[in-house]
Amino acid sequence: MSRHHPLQAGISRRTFLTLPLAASVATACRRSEPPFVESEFVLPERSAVGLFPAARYDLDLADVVFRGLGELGVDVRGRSVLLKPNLVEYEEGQAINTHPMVVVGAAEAMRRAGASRVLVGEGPGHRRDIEYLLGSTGLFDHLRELRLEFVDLNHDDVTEVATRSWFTGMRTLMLPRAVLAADVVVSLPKLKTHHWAGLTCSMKNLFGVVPGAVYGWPKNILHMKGIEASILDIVTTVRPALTIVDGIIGMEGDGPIMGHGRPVGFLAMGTDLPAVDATCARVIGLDPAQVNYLWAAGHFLGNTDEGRIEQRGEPLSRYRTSFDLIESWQGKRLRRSP
Amino acid sequence: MQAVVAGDLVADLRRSIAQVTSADGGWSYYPGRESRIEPTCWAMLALSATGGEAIRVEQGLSYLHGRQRAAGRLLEDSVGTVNYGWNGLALLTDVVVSGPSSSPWRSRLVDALLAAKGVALPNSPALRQDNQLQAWSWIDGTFSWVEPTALCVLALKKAGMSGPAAARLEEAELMLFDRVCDAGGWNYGNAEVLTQDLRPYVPTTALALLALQDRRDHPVVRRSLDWLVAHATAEHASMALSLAAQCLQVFGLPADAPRALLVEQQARTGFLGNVHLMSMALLTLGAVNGAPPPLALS
Repeated sequence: MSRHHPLQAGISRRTFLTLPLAASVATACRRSEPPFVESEFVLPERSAVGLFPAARYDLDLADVVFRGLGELGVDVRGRSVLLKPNLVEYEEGQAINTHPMVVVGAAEAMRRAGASRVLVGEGPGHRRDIEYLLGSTGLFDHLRELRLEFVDLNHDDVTEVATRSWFTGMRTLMLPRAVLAADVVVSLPKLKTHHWAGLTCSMKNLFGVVPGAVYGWPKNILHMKGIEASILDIVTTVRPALTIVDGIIGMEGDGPIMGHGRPVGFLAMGTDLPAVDATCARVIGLDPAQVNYLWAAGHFLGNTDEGRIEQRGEPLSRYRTSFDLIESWQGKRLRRSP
Repeated sequence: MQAVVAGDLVADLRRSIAQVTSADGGWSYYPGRESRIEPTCWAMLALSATGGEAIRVEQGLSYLHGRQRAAGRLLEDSVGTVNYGWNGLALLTDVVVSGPSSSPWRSRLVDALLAAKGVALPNSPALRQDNQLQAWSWIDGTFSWVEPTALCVLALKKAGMSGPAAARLEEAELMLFDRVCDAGGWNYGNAEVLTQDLRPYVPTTALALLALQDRRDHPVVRRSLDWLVAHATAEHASMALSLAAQCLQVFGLPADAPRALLVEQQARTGFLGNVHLMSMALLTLGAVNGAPPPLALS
């Protein structure tokens, strides 16, 4: 992949520019200067992405995650870890949220790996009633049983921090202190389609760290500034160190809420979030180059080129499938060799 | 038995809330953190409605008064954005706890609310709604949503606003009528996205109905009230149960079922130790017998 930045070169894609929701990113693309300090972002030569088998939620997921940490060389000894699951809405039997057993598994694995403190934090952008979401999903009972501290990110104290990129034009963000204080932020998303952004996975999940009590619901300012642009600015600024994707049962169709469950059978892990998300996009049959924020991220934030992603665990081909996509995303499927 | 449990809980909640006042007179969402407008308002409403703690309520008012900035809007100390939902709630709280007043603080806040508008956007085939209607957004530069709109409408009506406020209130009511879900009730902002109907929620529906309590004959209000009666206990969480009970009470309907579940919810989650939720519960469970509901327009 060329190290020449597309924003600098004024490279654009027709699809990228014609999507209304990508307008602010597209504007950034037309600028002569990229909306970040280039020297602060260096793409790694290669990025490891693990696809670890997990067919059911009643398996020993802590063991799966623990072995994944070892496989990827992630060291959390003596570090505080904040796990950020994706809690959006509750519909009985629907695969909307990160499953509580994935949160439990990740927390137990972090403790076993020597983390000094493990917190779970979420600030839902859709449902603002966190007590309802924790109770209805069953996560509340697990948190209590494991004595895991929960941080309500919508209502935590906040600190204003400079953004490390400004695709949205926002030079600062108010972020919860619990997020800023954590040594390691782990994105713990559900693998889902997203009717506006194409894919919601480890990067989009971080919308939930932006406090609703400051920005309102559903983090409306971020939608007004452009979802894709916001995803990029949040990820560059929060700097998550790891992601563990709940791909045991994903959501296809009209995600992130109104789609339907699709068993896939893995936990995806990696320290390069764009690389993990691009891999997950390929798994579900979506072309990562057609997902605007992934396309942009692949030029400065992480590796999305398949040739620079080192597969660990199981090969991608084991899980490759074709998620149902809503009409506006049908033309963005991955083209596969016959 | 239920009454005894609720009585104990009311006393516990009152004590807990009174104990966690911050030095600046306000309340934080969670004890030990910075004071914020929303939990301060609900704590003041709850303590004043359940009698006593007048000094704490006065201190809360001082906290709110101290947050007012030049344009009349209230801004939390470490937060760089004005939240119009909480500004509306602050006006409502001031009216409920202080009664009629022509204080400059209240007048400036009313003017600020009347000057604030959610942005108008072109209508879109992806959303079956009128994007031109401007009510209240959570923050500047964004779209109008049900909750901030409901809080501002209720506050301005409770403050007895008329004259220049009438046109704003009328458009805000139109916005609420426009966004009602097919089944009645309200989602957060849209009733439909990409041809998919969205479902109503209890807290948003209760808040919108409280704002529209003087429009009881409107078909949208009647349909939404029917929906709320049928779903008042569907969401087992203190915000939903508290707002549902308060709304039903304002409409003169029985609220025993959500109140009973609220007691159970405390035993289950302790309201997460969240002062805002504890205060909503106290306001719901601890109202003095025979007193008019604090959120009623009278």
